[in-house]
Amino acid sequence: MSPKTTVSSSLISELSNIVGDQYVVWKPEDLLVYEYDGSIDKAPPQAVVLPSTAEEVSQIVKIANKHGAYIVARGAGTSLSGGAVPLRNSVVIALTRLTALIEVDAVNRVAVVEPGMINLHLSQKVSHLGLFYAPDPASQKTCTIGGNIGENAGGPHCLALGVTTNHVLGLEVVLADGSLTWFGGTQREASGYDLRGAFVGSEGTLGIVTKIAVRLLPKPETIHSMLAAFTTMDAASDTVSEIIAAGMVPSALEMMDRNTIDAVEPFYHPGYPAEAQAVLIVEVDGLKESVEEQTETVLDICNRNGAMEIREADDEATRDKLWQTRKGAIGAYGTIAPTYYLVDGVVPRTKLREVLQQVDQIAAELDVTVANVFHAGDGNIHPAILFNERNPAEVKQAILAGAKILEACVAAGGALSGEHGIGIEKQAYMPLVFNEDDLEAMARLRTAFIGESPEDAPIDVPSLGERFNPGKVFPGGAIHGEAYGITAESFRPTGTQDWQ
Amino acid sequence: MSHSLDGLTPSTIERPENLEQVSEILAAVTKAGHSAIPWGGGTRIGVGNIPTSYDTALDLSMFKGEIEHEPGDMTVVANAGVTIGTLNDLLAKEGQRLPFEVRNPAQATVGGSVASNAPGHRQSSTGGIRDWVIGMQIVLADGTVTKSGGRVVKNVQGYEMHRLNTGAFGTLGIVSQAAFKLLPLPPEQQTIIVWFDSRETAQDVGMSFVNGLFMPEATSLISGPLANKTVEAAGESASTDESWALLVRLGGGIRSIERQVNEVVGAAGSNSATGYAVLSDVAASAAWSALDDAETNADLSVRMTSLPVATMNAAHSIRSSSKQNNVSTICDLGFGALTVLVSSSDESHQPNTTNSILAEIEKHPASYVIEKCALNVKQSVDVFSDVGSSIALMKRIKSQYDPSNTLNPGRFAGKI
Repeated sequence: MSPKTTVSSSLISELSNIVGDQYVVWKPEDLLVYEYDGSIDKAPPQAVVLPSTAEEVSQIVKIANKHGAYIVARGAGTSLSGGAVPLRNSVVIALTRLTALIEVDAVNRVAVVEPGMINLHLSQKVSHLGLFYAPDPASQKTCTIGGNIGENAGGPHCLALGVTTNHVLGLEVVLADGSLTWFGGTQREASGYDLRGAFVGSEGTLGIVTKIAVRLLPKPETIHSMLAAFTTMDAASDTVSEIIAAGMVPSALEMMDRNTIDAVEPFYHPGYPAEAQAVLIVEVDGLKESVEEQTETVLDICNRNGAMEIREADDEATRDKLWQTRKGAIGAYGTIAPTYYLVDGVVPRTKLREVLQQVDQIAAELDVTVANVFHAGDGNIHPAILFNERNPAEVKQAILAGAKILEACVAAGGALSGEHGIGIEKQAYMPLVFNEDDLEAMARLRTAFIGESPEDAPIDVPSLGERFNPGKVFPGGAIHGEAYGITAESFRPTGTQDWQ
Repeated sequence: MSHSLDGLTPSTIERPENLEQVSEILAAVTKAGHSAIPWGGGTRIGVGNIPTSYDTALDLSMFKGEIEHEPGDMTVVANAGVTIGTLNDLLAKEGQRLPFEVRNPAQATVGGSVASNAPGHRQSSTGGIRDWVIGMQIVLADGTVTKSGGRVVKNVQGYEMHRLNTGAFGTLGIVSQAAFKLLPLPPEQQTIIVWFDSRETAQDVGMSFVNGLFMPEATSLISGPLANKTVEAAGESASTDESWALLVRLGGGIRSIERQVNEVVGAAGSNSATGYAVLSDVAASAAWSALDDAETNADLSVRMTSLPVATMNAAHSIRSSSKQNNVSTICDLGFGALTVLVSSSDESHQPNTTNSILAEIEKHPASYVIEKCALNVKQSVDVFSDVGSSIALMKRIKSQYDPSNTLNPGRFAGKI
């Protein structure tokens, strides 16, 4: 059960004065949907307010400051790391009404959007101009670009095209004192510190983004997708390594394991070979000639590694079908277990096989079921730990297995997150990668944004450093899985692995 | 004397060879209340305002150590003093390269290139250094060694201090080590030069390349005396005094290159270009070097970053308003950058010349930096464009990391 929250009636009426009664949510039953996101942690907000302009966001921040309330900005709430869970009795500013496409400049390939715009909508709205927006998280049909900024989101096609930060040119941001400012602009570089670079991926802890200038890319002339089934995961992994060694950067390199194949078969009936232990999707795009050259190389490598079956797609309908199992994999896990915990870790590509074996061992030791679907090209693994949410013991095992998997990723020279962020989920693991000096240096950035002394900070604001999205990113802010009996002692890293 | 800068000479020159020494030296300098200016190969050391104080030159060019290249992971990690040239030579053995280019790679170092966000022609297609830095080690002014990011091509873990410090000119800390994501070397490369009598046509054709089906590796539109010089360096000759030259570098497999060449040549022909040439490797290298040499030899150089179309418009108005024929412009159409180069410019005229160039640039939504100029220009203006309303925040960031103003004092944007 969620702890009770308190809300002041004067806060509600002041917020209502700005946005109107219908856009302030405060009744406990109405607040339920804002308690959680795509992760397994939950916390209730004291109120939710839905502004329609940047100026309203600014005024809301000033009012929250006056009342000493923490603030959490929220997009579609698809975060998988607890990024949108409102800790500390926060006021949630939901940006879902700020959905406008403010400007498109097709010649210079720039768009300016509001943060509540759904990721896929941008590509759809500029498609007639022959353009698209590159970052494509799996949740792109629902997630917002503002949320993507917070988490520096990735996606299958980030292998060749880069993640969110590589596509953001400028940001309009509401700072802790409620003032509006721009970081960068519509040009590629701006004078002074790269505040846009520092802000993207800061998980909503430094301010609230209200406008976003992004780069658009021309759609490729040709796209060719290939799907190959292999009898062993090793053969599929070797194929990935050889494709990279051949001097190619395909637009996507995605892998699914047997458990995932089992999950998707009843949903999509792809009819993959019964003996297949791994399915690999390789997509190449660009000029027709370039695609032909790369396709030949990829098919050759797949065949040399004993691919049992290869499917190809070069039109949109066939491609959508080919991608259907990959994109729908996570949802299909419902056929195996009621709930899943999708872990996000990165390993050096050359250590993929080794770490996947460790993942299997961890699953066996902790008696959990793990299905794998991941971005093989950049070593970003997504083991899905399947469990029943109604059984607290299973939840606890899932969380502990996730911790061990991340520890294995870091020990292999990898990272705690490739695209989901730290949030609540991974903050306890931050010391696996960063020492106190590293974390202190990061914390100073937040201090610079939020203020460090009452003189330069908003009046009556509790715990200044944690003005926005409190309890996230840094260790000690919250306990992942607390509702399921996890305590701070449940997970103790066995050793730190410094990447230096 | 070596390590002099803007007429100032440091009392001490430190040349650390390892991380411990970098840390110890910095801690001592800060403790003594002195100032330090970090140096790499010195290729971009002149970019910045006049230092308000300069006690110690912290020369990191000896801080090399081992280079950790993982071909299978397409990553490389190197210390500040390693030159970009050394790095690329090593990577090339495995068919890889740094995605970005810098001028004078034999001298430019990892630390200096990252700290000064060094530009290069290939940014037209692959973006700037910031897009390829995946992790960093930063030594703070008090000697504390910190890190952010990671060594894997994709990572989001904590604040991206490595992006904040890219292009911060060492004012927040010393970039002692950087990790980069790499790209494969393209199987083939081909440079084509096309020249025009008509500015409008040159611009339209240039934009059609960067907005077309393939993104050339580099696309530069050159005007002014440098245009004909580049055509000549390529072994060709332009027929008029006033030409616009498009220098385009393509990359890819054999068949892909063939198609791209056909497209470029076809566009040149159907738009009645004055001439074009598909260049040999030697001629291509000479043509690109002509641009780099012009930048190196210019008396005054200003770099503007803006929308591609705005850079072309600014280039035209700057060229039109210059009374002497000593102003050349290079527009990087894929990136949206304009470099204005003024040669044989009398020092006493430089402040006026600079002001008129900046006045044209400021008509557009743009940032700029005066990359090279005489001291009297630095004495009269901030060499970086106004950062706007975020200046207060930038100053707070500076004071968080370097409260005693040890590092590169006064040299950054807003005289930070």
